[in-house]
Amino acid sequence: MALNKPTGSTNNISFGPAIVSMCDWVDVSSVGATNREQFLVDVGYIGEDGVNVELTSEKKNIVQGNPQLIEYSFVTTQSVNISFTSIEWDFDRFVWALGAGSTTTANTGTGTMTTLSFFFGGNPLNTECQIMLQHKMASSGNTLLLKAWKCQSESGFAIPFTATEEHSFEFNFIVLGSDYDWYGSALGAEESLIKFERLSTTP
Amino acid sequence: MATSNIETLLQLVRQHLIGSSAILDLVDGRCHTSHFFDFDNETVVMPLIIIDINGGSANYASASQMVSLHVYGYSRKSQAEALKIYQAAYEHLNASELSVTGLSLTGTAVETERPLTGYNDQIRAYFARGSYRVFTAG
Repeated sequence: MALNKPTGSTNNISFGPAIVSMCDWVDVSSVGATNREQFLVDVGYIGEDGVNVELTSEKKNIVQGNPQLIEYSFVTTQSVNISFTSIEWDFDRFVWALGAGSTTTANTGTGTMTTLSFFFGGNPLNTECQIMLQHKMASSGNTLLLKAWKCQSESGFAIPFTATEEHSFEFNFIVLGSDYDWYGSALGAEESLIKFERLSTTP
Repeated sequence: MATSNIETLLQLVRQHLIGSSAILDLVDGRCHTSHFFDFDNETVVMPLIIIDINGGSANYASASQMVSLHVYGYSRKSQAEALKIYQAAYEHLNASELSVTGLSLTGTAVETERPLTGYNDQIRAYFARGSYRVFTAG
């Protein structure tokens, strides 16, 4: 027996990237209970660094005495950030990534030429979207789902016209607090940002 | 008890590869986990695939490991055939789920370098060699 070797389950170990799906956010409390999951679409190919989900929980410590000892600690901020690098020229994804802009499709000129357009600039609103990540665990075969109920673009992104690498676009999102899940059910006090699910089979 | 076994990893990759009918059609099960000492030996039938370990790492608890591999496609006939064999291996191995009944390890593999090609005088065969990272747990 190896020295100080922990006991664990290799079924809980996994490797590799995740699939990112997104759609527009809709207030299910106003449109009625509906399964918003059906509107999610795969955002397509992403970069080799995969997807990064950053959960933060900032604490404020109450200290007393001399020397000062921590008497109590409470949470001041909880947040979730989701970031990934898209490698697809897809204008609809640009709109989600910026929280702004619009796209059009038109048949222009002669023949069957189609023009896709992306417009950006002038609207102060940061529109909302929904994000779901899906990852099949390498060892157990279980499927991990991350459902970020309501998200917004956190920043813009650069469009690099580089000579030696594929074009890539870094997308960053922040998760907002939500009162409802995608199915119209009210969320509890500790459920407002995200939900991780681990499924024993692939959905 | 979890053990990062390197031989099992090689068998996992090997059996995963020969589980593909496209690969079987090309190399007829000749997927080996090391190079031969004497490639001049007339009994060595080509084309074939060779999986060669190129280092890696395992965690302290032996619960998971990452192993770098070279995957070779060999052909005495032509460079094109060596590439064809490599391509068949790539299509079946890259980003795949590695799980074979009876083997304790499961995992995944990803190509990290596209194939290098050439002619090996000692072996007297064309080759296409790509690099992979294989991650396993179990």
